[in-house]
Amino acid sequence: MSSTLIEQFKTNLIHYNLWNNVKIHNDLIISGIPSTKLVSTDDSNQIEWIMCIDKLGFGKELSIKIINSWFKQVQSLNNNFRPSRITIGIMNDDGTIVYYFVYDGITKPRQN
Amino acid sequence: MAKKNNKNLNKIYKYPLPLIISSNSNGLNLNLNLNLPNLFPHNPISWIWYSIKLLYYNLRYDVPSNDDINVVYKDGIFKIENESSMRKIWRMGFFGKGVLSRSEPTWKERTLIRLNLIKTDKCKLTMEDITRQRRAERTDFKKKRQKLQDLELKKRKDEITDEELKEMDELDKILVEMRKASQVGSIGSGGSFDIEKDEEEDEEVEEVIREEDSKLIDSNGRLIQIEYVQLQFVETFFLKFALNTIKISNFANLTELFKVCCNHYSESNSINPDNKFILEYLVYHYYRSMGWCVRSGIKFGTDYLLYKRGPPFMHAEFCLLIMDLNSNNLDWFQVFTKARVVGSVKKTLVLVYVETPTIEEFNQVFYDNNEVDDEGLKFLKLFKLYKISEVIYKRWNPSRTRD
Repeated sequence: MSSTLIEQFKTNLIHYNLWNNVKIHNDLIISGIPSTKLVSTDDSNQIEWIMCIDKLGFGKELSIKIINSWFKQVQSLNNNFRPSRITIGIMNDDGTIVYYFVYDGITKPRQN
Repeated sequence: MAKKNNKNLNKIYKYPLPLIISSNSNGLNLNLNLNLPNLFPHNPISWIWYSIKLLYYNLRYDVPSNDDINVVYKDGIFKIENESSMRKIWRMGFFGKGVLSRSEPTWKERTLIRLNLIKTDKCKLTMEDITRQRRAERTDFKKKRQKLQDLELKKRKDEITDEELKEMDELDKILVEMRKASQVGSIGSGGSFDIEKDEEEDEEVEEVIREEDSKLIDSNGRLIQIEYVQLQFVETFFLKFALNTIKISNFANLTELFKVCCNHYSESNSINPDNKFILEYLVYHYYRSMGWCVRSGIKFGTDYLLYKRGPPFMHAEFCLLIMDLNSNNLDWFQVFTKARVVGSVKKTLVLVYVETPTIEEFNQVFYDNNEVDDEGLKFLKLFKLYKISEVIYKRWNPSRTRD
């Protein structure tokens, strides 16, 4: 089993998180459908977009410009539809991945 | 912070490190597994009995050996692929992480159950099952809370019926119970224990097997193991330099391994005294040498977590943040934010300051060719140039700590 960073993410989503239709789009972006919807306020289980980042990778500055470029890339992959959120996945050197949502602008906070 | 105690845990995790001290300098078998009788200095019969037992064990059993664990460096990852080594490295000191598990490599066991490849009445609960169960409970709690809040709103608007008032009362009671239960830790955590499998659940299982899952089964109908254990760079270096219990075929010597680790953390080819790998390694080694189980703290946005004994026994008590005195890597605002996260999971934040030597002092030791015949000593000398000091950081809330 080959394991470039993006393929490690793919394996993690399919066999650990049990997602369906996991697709690699380029070196950065993976999409897939979770086994259950991720946020209770979502209407239905929807396609999620993951930006795959190496914790030890270089040049991983998190600016508005970069976030916006991610949204634009996802838009071009998603029938020109800009999603309300994307997800950042950060890979640690022991293979742990932590995922964080990034919303496109202000969102009503959820009660924990 | 103790987790539910299980007698089996002490048996499974009896070795704190992947080392078995099995014989003394004369080659006598002193394996801790053997139950040698007590020795009473004032009672000569106990000496004889002890000698007989010791002799018996040494003739009867082999001295257990420390088989090296094979580690492969591939695609920038340190992997352990042999199943018994995977188990060993987790059970003896909690090193590494199963790439398809939360920590202990349990993917194969879980998948066998998930794909109905083994028939069991009772199933072992893995850490992942416990997490899932706890999340399901939490979701259920949130649903009920939402309902209660909707009813409360109705009440305030005076649109509520008597029946709904009753329902509100009941919901309120249930929620109080659920809150209590979650604080006690209703399912317990860590370790594994048996539960009766839910029969209703069995009926629901008729899921369609995913295409990806069908590829996991070989022509004999057996599940293919695709999980391996991934070691952190600091763990790998610790197991090689400090314990020397692993074999890594890719590297001729320790210096080569060290260079690969340092270069992985820094863009420049030359190794500086404040290389991030060195700082992380020193802090890792420092706490390991004092008996703590050190694991990655990435889930809480910190560098490390400290466990007493290990994850199955206790929740982590401390989160560590490595502070580099030279490069000011964190400002106070960043420390504040991390401290709030750490506080909310009832852990204590420790700031670990590492004082580095000058580049001249560093190079003098690192490039000293007189020590090449003992690399271990060279690194020991090198690491002794660093100083570590720690500070506990705690948020103080004046209005809450008044008497």
